[in-house]
Amino acid sequence: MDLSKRRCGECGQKGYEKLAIKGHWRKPWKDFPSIFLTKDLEIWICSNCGAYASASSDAAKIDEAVESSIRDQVSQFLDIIHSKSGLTFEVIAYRLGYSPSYISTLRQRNATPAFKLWNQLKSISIDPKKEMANLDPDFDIIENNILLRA
Amino acid sequence: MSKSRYDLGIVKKLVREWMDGEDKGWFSAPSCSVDYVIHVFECTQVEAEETILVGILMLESSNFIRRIYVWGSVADEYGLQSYLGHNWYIKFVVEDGELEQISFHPSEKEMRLANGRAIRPSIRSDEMPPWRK
Repeated sequence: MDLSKRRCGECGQKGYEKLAIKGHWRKPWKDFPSIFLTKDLEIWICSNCGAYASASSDAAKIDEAVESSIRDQVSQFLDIIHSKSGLTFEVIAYRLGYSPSYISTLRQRNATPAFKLWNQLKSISIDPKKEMANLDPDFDIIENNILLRA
Repeated sequence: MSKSRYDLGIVKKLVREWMDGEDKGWFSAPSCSVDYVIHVFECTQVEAEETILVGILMLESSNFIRRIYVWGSVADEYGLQSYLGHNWYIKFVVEDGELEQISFHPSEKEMRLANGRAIRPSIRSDEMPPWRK
């Protein structure tokens, strides 16, 4: 479907362009309030306001690009955490509260995690050594002076 | 105006063809339709679009609210009660043999159908997506 001369329902201006988008996309998907595309997605974008439009065949393409991006990111987050923290994937799974087999499935890009886990892994990837130490269930919360009322 | 601009039978035919993979429709304002449904059900794009198309197939003439001008085109507004746990506000245009789906989201305020029946809001303000607040 050619939307190039159609009117955008968001801003009322005419004209869409078929663009390959990548990076931050302020659009919900499953429980993700916003997504980050690491795979190119060719889609109709309003030339005036930047809103996207979805024509008959676009939905499956959108799902494929988003899901593939999330799976790829999670796999990379886990590899980063493993290499920078020096922990095995079994220990990483234990500290995150997931089964080793689920973590292995995520590493192999065979499952899409919930936003909560994706976001947690993203955050840990920034400083894996420190964050994984904090996630250790044996981390001493009194010695580390976390509690207000010990 | 209390009569719909577009024949519901034709609209439903377009929806069925759209669901069969033909180029018969598009979502021109996803923030008011597909993305809103994704926000409500935490689903995928395909699931959200299917939810909307099935919802349109459930419309009857008794669900009609009114005609309204949207960016120079005449759109029909409908209110659908009790579909997947919500009441829905729906707005579309048919142009050049294609369905332009503009709005499909839980009713945010009370709607009054053309037959006088009222439909209650079905989403609280704290449940609305951030872009609607």
